[in-house]
Amino acid sequence: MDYTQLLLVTWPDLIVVLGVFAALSVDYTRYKNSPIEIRSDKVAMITSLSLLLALAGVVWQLILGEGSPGVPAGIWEGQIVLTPLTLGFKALVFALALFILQFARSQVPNQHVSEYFGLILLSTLGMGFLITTQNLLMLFISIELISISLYGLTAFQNSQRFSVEAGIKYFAIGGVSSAFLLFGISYLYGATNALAFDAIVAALNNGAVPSGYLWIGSAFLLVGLGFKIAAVPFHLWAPDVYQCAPVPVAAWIATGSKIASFFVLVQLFGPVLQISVHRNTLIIGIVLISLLSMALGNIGALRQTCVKRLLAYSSIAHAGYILIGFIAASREGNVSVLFYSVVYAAATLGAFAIIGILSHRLGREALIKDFNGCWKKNPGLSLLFMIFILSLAGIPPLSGFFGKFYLFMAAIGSRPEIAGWSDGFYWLVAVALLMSAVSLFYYIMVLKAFLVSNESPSPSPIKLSKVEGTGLVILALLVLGLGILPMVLVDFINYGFSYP
Amino acid sequence: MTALLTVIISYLAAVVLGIIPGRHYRLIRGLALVTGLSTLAVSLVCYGQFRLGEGGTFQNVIELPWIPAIGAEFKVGVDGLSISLLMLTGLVAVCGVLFTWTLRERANQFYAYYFALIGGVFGVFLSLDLFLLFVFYELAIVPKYFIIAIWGSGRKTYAAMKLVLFSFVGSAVALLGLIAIYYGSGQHTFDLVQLMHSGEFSPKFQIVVFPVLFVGFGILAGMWPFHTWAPTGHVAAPTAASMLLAGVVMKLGAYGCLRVAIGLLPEGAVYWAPVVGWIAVINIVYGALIALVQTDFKYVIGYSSVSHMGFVLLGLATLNEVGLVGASLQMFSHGVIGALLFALVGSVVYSRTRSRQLGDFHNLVQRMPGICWTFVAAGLASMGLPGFSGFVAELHVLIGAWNQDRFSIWIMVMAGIGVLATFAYTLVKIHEAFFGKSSASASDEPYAPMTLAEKIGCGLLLSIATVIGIYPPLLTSILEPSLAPILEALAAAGKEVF
Repeated sequence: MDYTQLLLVTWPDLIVVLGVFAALSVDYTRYKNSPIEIRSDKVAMITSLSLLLALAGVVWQLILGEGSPGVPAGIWEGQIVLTPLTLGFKALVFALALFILQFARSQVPNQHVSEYFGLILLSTLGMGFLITTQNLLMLFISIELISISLYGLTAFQNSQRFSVEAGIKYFAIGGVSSAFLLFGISYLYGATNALAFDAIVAALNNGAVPSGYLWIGSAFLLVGLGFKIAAVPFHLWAPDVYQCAPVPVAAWIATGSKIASFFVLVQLFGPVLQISVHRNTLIIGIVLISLLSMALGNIGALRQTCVKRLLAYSSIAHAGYILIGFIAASREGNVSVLFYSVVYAAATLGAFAIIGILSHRLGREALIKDFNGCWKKNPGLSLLFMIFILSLAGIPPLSGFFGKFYLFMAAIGSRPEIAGWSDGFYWLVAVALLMSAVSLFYYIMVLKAFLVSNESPSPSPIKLSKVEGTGLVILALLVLGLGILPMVLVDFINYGFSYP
Repeated sequence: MTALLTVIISYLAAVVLGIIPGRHYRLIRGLALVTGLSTLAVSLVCYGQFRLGEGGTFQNVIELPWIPAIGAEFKVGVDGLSISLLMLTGLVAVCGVLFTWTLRERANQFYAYYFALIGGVFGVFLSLDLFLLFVFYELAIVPKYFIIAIWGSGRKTYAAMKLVLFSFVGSAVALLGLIAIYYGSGQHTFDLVQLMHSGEFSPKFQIVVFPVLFVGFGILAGMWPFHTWAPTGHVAAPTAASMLLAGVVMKLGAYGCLRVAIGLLPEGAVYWAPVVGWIAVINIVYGALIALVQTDFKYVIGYSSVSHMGFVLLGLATLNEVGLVGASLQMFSHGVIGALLFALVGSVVYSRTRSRQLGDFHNLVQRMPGICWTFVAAGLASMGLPGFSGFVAELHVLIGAWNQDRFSIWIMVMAGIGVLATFAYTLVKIHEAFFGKSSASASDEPYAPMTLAEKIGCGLLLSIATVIGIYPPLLTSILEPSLAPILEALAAAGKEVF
């Protein structure tokens, strides 16, 4: 084994690991007896700095790009593969984590400051690996790294019963999903005798694959990943976890972990769906999952009074929309899935961040009516919130609109001929559009509290820290900018896919 | 470039007015008026620049690459039809500001939403790319919610939500049709001009997709049985918004029906024409009859809008030159007169009587004579009295309907009943409102006369309605050449289907 190669590939990740250690050690020696505010400031600074350096490293690798001696294309049967696409999305996840750290800074749930930030960094590492891997074993390990960090983070408010309950629920369901994943991996390996994605695809192309094993393997893998993206019927953990976890953690689960999961779904199943003998059965299964997710997510969200829980149901619904692009089983479809996962993450992160900022001083779960009349004291935040929520609702010119449109175009484009309405995916898109109308209802109900209500809110205006303000504005510009000029991202993803 | 200025000015104004602190309401309304006037001026310049000789082609075209991945371009341009609607939008925008002159509450936010809505409307009329058109179409939805829910009256949040959901579902249905067009044309483009000239849609495709597009856009045009959002929405909305909604936003739907559904799928249009004709006359008669029994003055006007939009739909269903010109004229005419009626009922009368119930009005003819006779004039215009634009438009539509051989005689009978019912409710309601006596409040104290802003607004709208009524070629001269390409396609399609 050539360890220089490993070092060249993973040095940005090593910086993050060093950052975790540095944060832990500083927190428990020098600042042991300082007040929590100071500790969280210092720890956030160290972790942010290390993440920023790592991000710079990934971007550096991305710019140097293919063929340069400093950046190996990949190591060991696709354990880690560095292409523009994987590096780009890794950078994106790191950047999102950086945002999360800024929002988490003022909202540390208890005295375990460095552990809190350390776990966020560890899950970030896991997501980075999940995105850069094209190997089933590494896939499993990264998912475990993400999941275990997130279980801990969910239960972090250990003084609150619900937080712990949610953590355990997440852990139990996540454990089962890991079992599904591992089981599926073993069957897929058994069927194709390969762990690297390209080798699996090659084996499928050769055709000499035991059909039954392949079927079980793909189906179980799909179920395992279905848990991660919180698609119905594997969504049961999502509402409780989103509601009871600390807000930044909920935001992180809804964004980083979603992007990484969808990325690996596309990487693994994109080719498999195009060539597998079980193509049609798998697609029918995904269509069902997508329909159920959209229906249950949107209808479930209608009745929620707690904003975070509402966003949880909406995230289930969004998983359903995204799967529509996936069903296309085409390059365009995959591009649309990745595009939407990014714009979804940006908007969701923004929305969660604002809810976190506004509800932090409440000391309890934020209900929709807690935000009544928010425009009076915090007009800027309300405006930003409107941008994020309308993007989720799919209103132009925000990126959520183009994202959805592109998903639908891709799905219909995979079988465009109309002989009858059951042909192609017109009917599926029609359902999705109907469900978007349902979702508009609850999104507007939330906005109504923020922008319409004339009640005077009790708390005084909230002073945003500079970092938080900048972060939110950047996210809003991203949401708006990708809506007006979506080609920037679409072209990048397309370029990434055309990379050998 | 000129035409695009309308969109740019509106959105700029939305941003700028939103930023100015709400306490400077005088500054804000002044700027809003200037904005409205400048959009009107720009549209008038477009009218002046319009080259009649090339009336069948789009002029003032701007074409920029935008999203090649889905074949969408940023392409805008105008023809006679769009110019007439641009002028209408500018006019209503100005008058909307005039009739909201006294607004102080959250004035900055009001005008931000107001001009965001208007920008979307302008955008739809300008777009020559279906994707762009759809983007503007959806952009115009959300501001409506906030305008109605914040500044409305009565069951405002219910009405706002109903209106928004109907609009959204309508646009979603239309979207499905647009995607079908994209793939069905085999050219993978959203370019409206290219699709019109070289899109080859099979007859079967047209017959399937036409109703999807027509219903999708028709929902916003107040098409029966999807019209229910319109009266509730118009009634709950603040005056400026009712004027915009009835005057302009409903025309968005009709414009989509004409430009996209009929323009791109002529064979589908020919096939479905009798059905559309029936729906249209139901609109006319149903709207008029419901208006006849309303006791809330604003609901009367709300249902009369539904009835008048029926004439637009009937004109569209005729698929001949006279009928289509009539439909386009009716869009303009109802835009002006509908806005005027809503302004009078929702702002001028209401601000004085503090009631919209017809039963509460007492002897208004003596207590507010000026307003009364203005309303009578507006009512007569709405009824279709010769000399006003409504007459010209409805006459065109009815002649067009006579000439359409495929309409059953009953459609004409129904249309006739509709005209009579319009006479009935207009006269009855004018009588009840202004000449009736109420037993409850028997005061004969005169109300304050019209303010300057109100006088200007009413005068502007009423004189435009009269000018078009006396000299319709002002509009027909630009409409006729611009409708010619659609009519040619329809003529070819008519031969093919039969």
